[in-house]
Amino acid sequence: MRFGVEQERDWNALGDEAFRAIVRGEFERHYPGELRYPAHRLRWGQLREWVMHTAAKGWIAPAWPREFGGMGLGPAKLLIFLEEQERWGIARYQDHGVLMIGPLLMRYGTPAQRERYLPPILAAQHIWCQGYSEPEAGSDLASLRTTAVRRSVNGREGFVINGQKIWTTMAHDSTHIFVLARTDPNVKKQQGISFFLVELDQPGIRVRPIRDLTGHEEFAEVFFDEVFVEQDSLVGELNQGWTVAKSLLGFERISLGSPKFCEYGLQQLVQVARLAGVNSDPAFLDRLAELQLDVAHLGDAYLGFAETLIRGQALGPEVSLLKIWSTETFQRIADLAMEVAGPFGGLTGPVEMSNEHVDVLAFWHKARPATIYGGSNEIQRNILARQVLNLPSE
Amino acid sequence: MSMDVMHGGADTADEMLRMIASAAEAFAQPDADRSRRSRDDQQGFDPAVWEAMAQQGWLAIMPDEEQGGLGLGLPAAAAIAERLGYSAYFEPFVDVAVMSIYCLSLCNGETAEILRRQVMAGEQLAAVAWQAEAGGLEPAIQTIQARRAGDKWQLSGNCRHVAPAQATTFIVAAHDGEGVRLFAIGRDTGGLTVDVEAGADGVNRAKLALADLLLPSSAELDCEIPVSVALDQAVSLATVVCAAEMLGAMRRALDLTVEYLGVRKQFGRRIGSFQVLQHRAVDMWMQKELTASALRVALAQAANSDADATALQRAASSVKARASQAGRHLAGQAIQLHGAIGITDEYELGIYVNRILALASRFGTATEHRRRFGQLVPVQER
Repeated sequence: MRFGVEQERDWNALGDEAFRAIVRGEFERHYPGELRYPAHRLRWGQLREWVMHTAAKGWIAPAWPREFGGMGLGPAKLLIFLEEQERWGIARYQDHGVLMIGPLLMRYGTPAQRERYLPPILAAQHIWCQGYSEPEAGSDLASLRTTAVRRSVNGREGFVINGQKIWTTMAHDSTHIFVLARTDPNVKKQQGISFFLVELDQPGIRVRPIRDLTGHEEFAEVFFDEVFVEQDSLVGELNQGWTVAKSLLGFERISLGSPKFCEYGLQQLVQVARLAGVNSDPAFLDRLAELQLDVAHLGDAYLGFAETLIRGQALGPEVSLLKIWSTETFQRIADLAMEVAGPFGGLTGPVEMSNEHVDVLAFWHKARPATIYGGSNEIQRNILARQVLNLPSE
Repeated sequence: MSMDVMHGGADTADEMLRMIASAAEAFAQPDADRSRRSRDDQQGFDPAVWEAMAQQGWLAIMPDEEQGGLGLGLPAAAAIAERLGYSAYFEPFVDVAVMSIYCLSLCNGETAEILRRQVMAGEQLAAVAWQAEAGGLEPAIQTIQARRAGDKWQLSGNCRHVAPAQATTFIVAAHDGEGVRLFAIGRDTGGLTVDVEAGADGVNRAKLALADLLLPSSAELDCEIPVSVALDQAVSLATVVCAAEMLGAMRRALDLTVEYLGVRKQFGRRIGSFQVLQHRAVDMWMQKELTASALRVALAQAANSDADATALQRAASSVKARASQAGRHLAGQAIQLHGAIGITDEYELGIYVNRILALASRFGTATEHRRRFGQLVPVQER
């Protein structure tokens, strides 16, 4: 069967700059201007039209192989695609399906699973969220307690899921959830976990959005009460879920460390400094320059890792440096913005400063989750200590 | 002077770099006793080592072949400097092979040519006196005055922070009321007083006092570009290579620290298993990695700069700001993670700590480079 839309050409055959020009032109022409660089995560309703446009064009899955409906971009072109998205401030929709489920099923899925799940991802009909963390299982994810027990219901083989997930990004805007659940409580904890694909709109599943400190709802709790899922929902072998989940590292690791996020932060910072009248203050300029250099060197390090990918080599554990440095630098930028904003940093919502509007408080809050999710920076440091510096565990 | 000084030639560049790095590794290894003896007895300058460097061709690494050099440029110089830093060799490679030689390579005429060849052969040691008393990044061109005295030049003024202090010839910029001229002054010249100040690393830096010093016209170096521009370029290049040397010292300090964490036992376990120390070591490693990344990009920027002053300054300030700040942080943390032995002279780490401290403020401090970087690369609002 053919997956998705036929690509209009072989993108990898184009020169890098020609490809960049085409991508840039497409984004500049078709991405809604009012949605550029959003201060908060957008809802599906706001992004739907743009995502449908990219789906119809066959651009929704840039890294997927063409045989599965993707653009088939090699690493160099993929980096360019990401750069152009970031340059234009394109909001990412809830694209776990593209980033995780697709590659997962291509590697571990059965042909039936691919036929069932890939087309709706390519058509943006299924929106996936990630059901990993639990109230008692954050950094120590392997200790998760949500269970999946074999059951036969009305002659159909499957599993019944009971438990709770938390910090599930935008579950309230999703149609599906992928879940790590315990299928064998009697073995070492990583070895008793399985990977399931679950439809959210069914009896027994309740989604409760979590309100954050800015009053927005980006995360949710998801409760599972006797939820039956078919045998076909299991990805990979029974009790192989941990291995399956770990395999999903790949290219995504480098996009976490792109300097564009911090570069945007610096732009916001100098805007606030200008409005506050401190942009010639030597003390401010020294702290600004220090942050500029932090971002410049993040970019220099990112370039080194990107060159590794372009050479076709895998990224080693050193890449955790990017995640740590980019997220903590962003926090320092937000801290300085808060400092120079004076009393305006303590007000909520877009605040008028010198006839322009800025939301410094939201900027500060926006910087908080990144050092926590995706493997907290403390965990990342543990990994670097063990795998790069080879420091002992006892 | 060909543009090869920046990027070291074309196709076989990578291969050449690998060979240079290999040769440097074979030449220099960490040896605390050697370093300490050199520091205590020779102020960090061993004539035998310098001779060996000359024989390697390293003193000729920058100028192109027309000038008797190897034309391998900045990346090769950086590779050598990094290894010297790692092995705690304090011989003045940056000051002579980069700073002095680059200045001489921009000069025409017999004086410059002879001096350049003698320096590359290790027969003469040349030091450029370029920095203001208070430090800073801009070459000081007002502090020494030159005036005509018959058919000679008469120079007066002072200069500080000059390296190497053992120089046989000092290259000095002097203002004649209209413009800046460059002179080569022999150490024994009447009217020149050379005092030395000991650096944190045991290496002396010189203070020069010129009192109605008389020079023949032939002592003037015929610089093919304005002297202040030549000095500024030389300083930028030397700054990058100095940062490379610091990176080498930082690597060794980190290696010593990680090794120690892996062997030192307290409370029945290796202290490297304690999470706080692991995280501190990781933060040290991150700063070292950022410095290495900044150096790679600075070298590439210098290669693409076509000797444009602003581009060179930007590259130099980027990497030196990081090396100076990260270096000092790393040095302090290395001591902390070693505990009390970290503050002793007997333990190897101290050699690197003092070297990092001395180099952190050579060719500009982190603050000075940050300021310049911020001025050169202002953040544009979207």
